Amino acid sequence: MASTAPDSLSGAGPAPPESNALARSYQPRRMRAAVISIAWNLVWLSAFLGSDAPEQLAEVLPRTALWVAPAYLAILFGLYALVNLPLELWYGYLQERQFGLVKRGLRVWARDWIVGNAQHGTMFLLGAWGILALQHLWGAHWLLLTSGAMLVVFLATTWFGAELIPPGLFQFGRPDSLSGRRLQRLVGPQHELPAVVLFTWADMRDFSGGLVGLWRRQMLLISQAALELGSDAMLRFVLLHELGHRRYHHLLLSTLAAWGYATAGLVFCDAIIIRLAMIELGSAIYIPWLALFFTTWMILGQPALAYIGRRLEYQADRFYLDHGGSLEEMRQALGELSHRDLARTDTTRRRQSLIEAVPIVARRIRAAEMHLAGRAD
Amino acid sequence: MLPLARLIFRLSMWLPNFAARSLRGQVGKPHSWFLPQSWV
Repeated sequence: MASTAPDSLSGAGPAPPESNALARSYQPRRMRAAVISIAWNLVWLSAFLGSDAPEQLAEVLPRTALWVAPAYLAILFGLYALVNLPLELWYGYLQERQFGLVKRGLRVWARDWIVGNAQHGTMFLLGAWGILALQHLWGAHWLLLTSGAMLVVFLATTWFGAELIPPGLFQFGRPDSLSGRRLQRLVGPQHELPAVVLFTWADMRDFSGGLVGLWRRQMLLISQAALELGSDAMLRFVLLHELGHRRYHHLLLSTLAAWGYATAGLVFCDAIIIRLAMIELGSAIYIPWLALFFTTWMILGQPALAYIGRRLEYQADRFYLDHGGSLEEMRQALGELSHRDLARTDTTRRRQSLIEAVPIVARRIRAAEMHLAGRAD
Repeated sequence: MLPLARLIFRLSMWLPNFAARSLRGQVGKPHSWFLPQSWV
């Protein structure tokens, strides 16, 4: 049952990393789920494109009329959601339930799945339809215009990050004045915290959160469990770490990197689609081909993106160390976090560095030791 | 926590990217597709 795991781990005190046995069982499942899911999506999409289904579907709908493209795209996304449903149910609900990391009850999961897919589907439809519309309207210049439009969309959706969290997934609230003062006391008067927003669902145990939004709209999400059950050491580490992300504008830089990588991907995919698949611009069939190559582009880039992501984490850790943090406190905080969130703390999961954007705890500690040693010199 | 890769996959959901959820290691966890997640 979901309740047994959280209860047995609910102590807020630090846990020695080697006792993190549940994480040893949990983390390989996450990795397996990711690999199987990626492979499955490549297989079904290749099979779909290898068959005459895309053509037949396009023939049912008039090829070039703008109004039919959304219907074609909706069918495509529906297919994607459906073929992923069994895997997502298995790994995302049935397996996670054993570790107490999902909301309790299949109906609740089903509702979240619908809400999540509705938002992803809307983004997919608007984005893919926008690409087709720009191909229709601007012909050869579509890539330039799509790139510009994507920059606006990426910046705007990062700016409004908090507003774009789908409604109904969480309960949100502000910390009471006592908690607010506690957080400010932990970071010290010299640091100004962004607006803090708490989020939770019934039985939520994760210590999680992070910055969302840009500039004056930037706020810090913190899970209610982290605020209520977390130690001062853990919260101080997390807050100063997040202030490091804020100080170095990591959210803006990540958004620009995302835009750059996605734009490069579109250019790469377009060259292949036009040359190899001989698909004409503006045809709805362009989109499943783009899906196949863009998905591949993202998979190929993941090791590098995850590596750069980990560098950002190390930089935020150094901000913490340079603004009053200590190695001992960091060690305690990471132990507490990893125990709570079932993160692996040892260095044996090398394969995961291909995909994980968060450094392994042992490496974070090692990097902190090196930073402090360098500072002492 | 703002791992670069997670933000990129969230933003690239506008594009036909059928590996977005899998690559973030969030297979079948719809509540986590749109949020920064764990700190470790």
